Amino acid sequence: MIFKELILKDFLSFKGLNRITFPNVSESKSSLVLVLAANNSGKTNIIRALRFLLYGDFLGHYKDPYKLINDGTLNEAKSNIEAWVQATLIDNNKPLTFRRRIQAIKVGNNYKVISNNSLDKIIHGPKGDKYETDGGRIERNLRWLVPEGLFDYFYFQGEELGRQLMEGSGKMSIEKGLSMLLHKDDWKRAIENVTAVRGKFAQDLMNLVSSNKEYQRILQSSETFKLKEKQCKDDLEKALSEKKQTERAFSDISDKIIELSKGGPSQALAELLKKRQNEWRVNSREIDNLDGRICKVTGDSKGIPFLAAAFDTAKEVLEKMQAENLLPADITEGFVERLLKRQKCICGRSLHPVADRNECKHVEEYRDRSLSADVNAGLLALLNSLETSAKHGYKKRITDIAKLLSELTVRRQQCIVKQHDLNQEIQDIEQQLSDPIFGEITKLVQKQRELSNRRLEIRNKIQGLERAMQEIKRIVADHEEKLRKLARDSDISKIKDLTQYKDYAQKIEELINASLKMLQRSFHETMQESVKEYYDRVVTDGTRAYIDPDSLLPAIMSPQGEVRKNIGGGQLQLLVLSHIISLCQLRRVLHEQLSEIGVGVGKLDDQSFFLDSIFAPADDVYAKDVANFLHGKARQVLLLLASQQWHDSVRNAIEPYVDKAYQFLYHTANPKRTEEEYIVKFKNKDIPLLKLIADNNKGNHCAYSIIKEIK
Amino acid sequence: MKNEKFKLQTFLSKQPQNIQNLFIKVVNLHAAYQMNPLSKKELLGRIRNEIEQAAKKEVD
Repeated sequence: MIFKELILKDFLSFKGLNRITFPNVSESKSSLVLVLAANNSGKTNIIRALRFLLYGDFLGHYKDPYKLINDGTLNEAKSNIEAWVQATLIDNNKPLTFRRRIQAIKVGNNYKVISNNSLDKIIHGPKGDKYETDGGRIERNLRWLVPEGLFDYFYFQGEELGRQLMEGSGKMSIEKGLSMLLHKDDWKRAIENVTAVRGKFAQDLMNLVSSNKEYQRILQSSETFKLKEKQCKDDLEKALSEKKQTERAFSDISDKIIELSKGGPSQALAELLKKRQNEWRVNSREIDNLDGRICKVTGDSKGIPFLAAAFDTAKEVLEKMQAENLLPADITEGFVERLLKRQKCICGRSLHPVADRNECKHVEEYRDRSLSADVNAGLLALLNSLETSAKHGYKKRITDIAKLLSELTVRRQQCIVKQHDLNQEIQDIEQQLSDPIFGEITKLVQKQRELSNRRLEIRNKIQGLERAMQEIKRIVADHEEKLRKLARDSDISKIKDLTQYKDYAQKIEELINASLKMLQRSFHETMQESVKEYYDRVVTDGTRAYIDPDSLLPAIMSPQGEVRKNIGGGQLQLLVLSHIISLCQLRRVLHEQLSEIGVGVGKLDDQSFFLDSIFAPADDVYAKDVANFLHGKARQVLLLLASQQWHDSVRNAIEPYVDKAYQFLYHTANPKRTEEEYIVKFKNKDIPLLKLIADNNKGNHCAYSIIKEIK
Repeated sequence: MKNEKFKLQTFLSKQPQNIQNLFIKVVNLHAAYQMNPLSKKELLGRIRNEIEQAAKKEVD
């Protein structure tokens, strides 16, 4: 339903004649009309006026419908008062203008409604407009164009529609509206009626053959088995559908597991492993470094620390040895042994000839010196010439060396302990990484296992049902053969005819039933694919759009595969808009395809959308996405926005696509905010949304709005 | 949205021609676009008539 014009006269908050003209757009293009209004200036009244126009809804004023007339107009009226809402639609490329009005007269201080709810068609002619009271045709057409259950769907306030869609509630169930819009209701009625006709054929047949007891017995038995066959077929359909859903869920979880194993927690663990392995390498280098330093200190000490304890004894021994002309190399047994052993440090550590080149050099130097007769002689000379103070100097050096060696050894020990801990931790991480039953993956695997068991159960059930079906079909065919023979024998041509009619009715009933199920599956697949296409690529929390296979209502699926309906804010707005757009596209495809097979549905492809306050509950993150999303998705969109929602990100996203803009100029003597706060920017111009009027001491009840085009 | 053909068309095309025709006639009798819908009694009568005609045509 595409609007050309909408006019409101003295209706609710709108005083006088207020008009919104929609831009002409071709079928393949889309148009966006923006309405900017202050809070409480009657934005939602546009949508309420439309509900009044389409369905004659008194918007809660059933006892006193005159309240639909503007307060100011009522106060100023002297006798007759009239308010109306008029629209011009494009119906089959021709304009269709209609008006619903309400008339009242003033009686004393009260008002009496003299005509309400009447819908007139307006015929434009050269001599002026003619009014033709609708006999029900336009009313029916309007209800068909926009089923009342789907009114909120096309002309909606963001949050309210979100709630209805998620709960499947609404004034008239939204699920019922969807069923109507997609013609499912018509097909269900067709099945019911064909079943009734088949029943009538069966009854007539029964009456005819009542005299033939055998025929009757077989016929009754045949009917019973046919019912069983139908039941069995339905159960089989359900089981197959459940199998498909289970397989889809199984496949989704498999994808998720693959996705998780690519990144997420295992990636964090891999990074930790890398870090610990680096630490292990650094620590290992530190141990090598300390080893080198210990060797160097030992080498540089020239054996002094080993002689410290034997300082005085050595002097005595060396003096004795010198007297006896012996070498002093056997001061301690272990020391001498280590000293003589090649490729070993004097501390006992094995030395690598290449890796420990420098250390080897120091140790060799030490060996050469400590084992040389010159050094021993020199040492003896040194010892002989030592004064007490000199002895202290050596002792200090010895203490320093011992202290340094001790520090280096302690640090080496610490490094070795750390190395051990790191080894342990690295082993643990490697174990976790190689373990498939881990964290989130474990849960998913568990769920997958449950699904696998369920799949097996369903498969067994299907096999059982298929076997039962085959058996029932065999019995039914057997019965029919017997019935044919009996009918031939009794030569009752009427029985033959009725049997054939009944069979035809059954075939048609089954065909419509199967076609409806097929359509339902196509609707679901198409909606699921389309909503996902719009929703999944915008959201950032890993959720996916989910469409219920039966009701076609939307929900979301968490990364763990749980279906959730408790969402809000911008995410909900996005899901709702995706659902609306997808449904309209589905309807268009359906109409094209039903027309191709010869099922008449009329051409009702296009739909206008009036969206009221869709950014109010939206998160800032999503506001821009929602704004961007709107462009080009529907042929006609009217966007009603409060000044507070017209913030920079929304303005930048929407402004370039606005084809026409209107403002509600709110007339009041008692504004709730300062005049500056009623100014909005549009295309770099300041647009005032407030006009102060003189206070008539009657409070705020005579405040009103007028609609003005922003040029 | 991909403008793929619903499987319905393929499914229907596999049915005998007289059943296809009867199917379309019966479904069209229920199409909501009709501005002057039939009463329940009239509707059942029309369905019965269509079924009888289709069955007779097959015999002929």
